[in-house]
Amino acid sequence: MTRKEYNNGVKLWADDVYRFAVHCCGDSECAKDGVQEAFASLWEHRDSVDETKGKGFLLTCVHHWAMSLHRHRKVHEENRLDMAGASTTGPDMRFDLREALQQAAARLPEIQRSALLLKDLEGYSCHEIAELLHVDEKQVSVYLYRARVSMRKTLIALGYDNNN
Amino acid sequence: MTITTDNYELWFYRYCEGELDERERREVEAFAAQHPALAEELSLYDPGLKLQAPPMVYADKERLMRREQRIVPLWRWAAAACLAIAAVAGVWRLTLSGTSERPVVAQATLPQPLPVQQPATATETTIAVDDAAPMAAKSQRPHPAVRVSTLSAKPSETAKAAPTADVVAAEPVSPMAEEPLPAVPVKDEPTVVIHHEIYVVADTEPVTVEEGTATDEPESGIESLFAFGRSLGARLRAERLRVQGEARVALASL
Repeated sequence: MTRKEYNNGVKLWADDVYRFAVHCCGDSECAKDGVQEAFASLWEHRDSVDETKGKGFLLTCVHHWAMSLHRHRKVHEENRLDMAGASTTGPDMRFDLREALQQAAARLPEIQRSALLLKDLEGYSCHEIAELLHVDEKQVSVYLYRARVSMRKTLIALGYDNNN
Repeated sequence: MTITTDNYELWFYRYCEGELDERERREVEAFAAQHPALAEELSLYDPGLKLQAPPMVYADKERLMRREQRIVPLWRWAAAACLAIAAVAGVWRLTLSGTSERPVVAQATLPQPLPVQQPATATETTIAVDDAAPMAAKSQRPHPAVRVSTLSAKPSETAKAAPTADVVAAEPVSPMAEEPLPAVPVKDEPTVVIHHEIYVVADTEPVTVEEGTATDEPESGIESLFAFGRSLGARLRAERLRVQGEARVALASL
């Protein structure tokens, strides 16, 4: 990947990578760090990364960055507990269904959330997600199944059930 | 591959996503019927439940860009540093040139106008040069300062003395050594002594230098320019020596 291709990649991919990072870490400011780290890594490995694989490389970097971030951060776990406690008081009408889905996705384990984000937001197939996350393709299917079932349970607990 | 409690999630996912054929679908439905808890879980799966997120804009794209870096080679910095050092050294050299032993000469020359002693000095110099002519054959350009002293002493002999006066003599008889002035340094190197002679003569009669050179011996333009430069330098040095001498006299009188 040349310098020009890299700079074009910044224009094309930065927004999507940023959105992915925001959903991975749940914090827009923190997500900027993840984006910068991902692009810095891409620049370092530009000789070995093909231009067509650039975006996937960035998303993989953000995923690993988010995994590392959450390993050292307990706030996420505390938020989970807070959200579980709030479910007994009924739905919070400040959130619409889209925000409720994001809240539900935020409770997912990292690997499930990353797989779900790559599937729903970026439109990758299970095979591509398996390559990006360095896991087996069948395992990606399992992650996606668990993620959707878990989100549905969470929505029901929060009072949002899209079937109602 | 049959459905078990260990791999049912993969089967359920494919079932919900429509990736199974009719036979596989019936197997999944039969498995779910045998496991009511898993069947309830299967009912929670909604393929239409997808994450929705509006597009986001990363504002600091410019910071992520990689610009062409103009790297100045190290040798350029080194060359610039050398030039700077050379310039400073040159200025320093020009500023301090000729000050090492000038004060001593100034003490010896300034109190005395030396109009009478100069002819003898010039004559002796000429004799010494004649003796040392083979050693100094490489220098052919006459020195105006010494020529002047010769002119002032014996105008008729100027034409003969001038061409050889600038020759760097091996063992010249220093005019300063002849004088009863104790402060004149005795030089081992003839070249330096010759220069002292030049300075002394120039200090005393700088104006005569140009007149003798210009009138008696027409020279080319570049030669005249050199002569003018020498005489100008001599004037400046003489002025400096005069001031220094006056300062010393003033200090001695205190």
